[in-house]
Amino acid sequence: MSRQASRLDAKKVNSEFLTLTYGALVTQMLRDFENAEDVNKQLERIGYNMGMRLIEDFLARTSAPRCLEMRETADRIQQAFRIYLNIQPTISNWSPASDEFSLVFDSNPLTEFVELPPDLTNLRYSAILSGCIRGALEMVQLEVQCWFVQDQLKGDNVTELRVKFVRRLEEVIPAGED
Amino acid sequence: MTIFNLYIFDKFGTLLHYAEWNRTKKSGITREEEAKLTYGMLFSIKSFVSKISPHDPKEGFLYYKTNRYALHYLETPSGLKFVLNTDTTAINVKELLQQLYAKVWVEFVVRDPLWTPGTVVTSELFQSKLDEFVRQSPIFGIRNI
Amino acid sequence: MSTYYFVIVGQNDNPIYEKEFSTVNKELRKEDHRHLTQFIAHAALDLVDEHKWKTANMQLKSIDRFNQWFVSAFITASQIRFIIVHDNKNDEGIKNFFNEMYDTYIKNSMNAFYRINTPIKSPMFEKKSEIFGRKYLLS
Repeated sequence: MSRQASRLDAKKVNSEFLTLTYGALVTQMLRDFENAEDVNKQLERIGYNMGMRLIEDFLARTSAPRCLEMRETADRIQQAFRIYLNIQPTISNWSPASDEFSLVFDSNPLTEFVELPPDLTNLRYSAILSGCIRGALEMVQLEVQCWFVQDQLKGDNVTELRVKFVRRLEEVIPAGED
Repeated sequence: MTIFNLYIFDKFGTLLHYAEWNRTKKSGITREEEAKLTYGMLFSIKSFVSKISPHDPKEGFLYYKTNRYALHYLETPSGLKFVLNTDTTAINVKELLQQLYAKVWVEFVVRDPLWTPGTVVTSELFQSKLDEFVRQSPIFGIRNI
Repeated sequence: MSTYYFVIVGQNDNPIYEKEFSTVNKELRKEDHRHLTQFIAHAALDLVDEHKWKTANMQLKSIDRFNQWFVSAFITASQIRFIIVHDNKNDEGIKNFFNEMYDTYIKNSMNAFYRINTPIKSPMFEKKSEIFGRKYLLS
């Protein structure tokens, strides 16, 4: 039957469901904290914790080896966005030292339908994404900074996320070893 | 072919999980001590192996073998370390460890919201799934020593 | 020459969105009917409640008349009422307008920052109603 054939993967959820759930989460947090800055921080933290777990799932799924340079990392992040959110950001604006790049999104499933009220211009609605990238990369020994440069919610044409390499975290030496 | 025991360490060297199947002889030291020594040994082997490598090492240390057992090692880019001791005839253990990571660890530990990263895994579901996974693997086989 | 007064009424009989469409230029209009159209729309709420049980359709069509004014209504499953007070017949246009506005209303209510039964202030919604009004009501 055609209905059977078109049935979606049972583990995947409708993107509108995600949009509404995330929206409910953000607005509830705004009500609880009454301060957009605190909400930004919390969203970032939620993302960070998600990223720390999501990276394991990503590594298991793709059996990707360690990245040797940032360009490879950028490709992996792009791939992860395709796997988990079914969107493909463009990688651009590399810094001359190749340690900083932008992920440019034409659309963002988290912000569909969302219109930011004028009194919440300092809210970073999608902060969960930057947190997620930071958390995931930290698990593979990469310390990065990640922030929004442009946001469609604030009237920009695209949403641009900037990722900057800070340092490589050294492997921990067990106690009693040199 | 058979499997003796399994250690799972995180990147800080914490023993997250230990399981054993057909291990008849004990090392005579405590579990903690044994885990620490295993981790320390692997750490040294790994760093020395890559140091003396004539080419840029891709995956580095994979396993070692004695005349009674073989130790197989899988490290994920996130620093998780899976150490599996089998007898000397076991083959494709690397694939098995990769599967164990993807099908058991990620599925029942990483996705368990009650597990805090970096802590010992206590989930009974994980333990039974791990046991099931190992017992069903072709390497586990029938014991013949 | 035609004038339309469009209002969305929330579950507690509170207006959440109002807009007027007219082919007549604002400055040239002789009399202001605003208070009157609002009154007619309000009076029609009871009739909407009466009509809504008689049909499974969300389009309630023309439900009331007052002098030269007609009242057409549309009701959503969540009892949000769309009412238009108009002075000339345009059933097809009004039907289409209601459908489009229903769509727009749903999109707006999917916005996490919009709370149901509160006035709609979204500029997007305003823009859409402007477009649909011009397309279906004034053409």
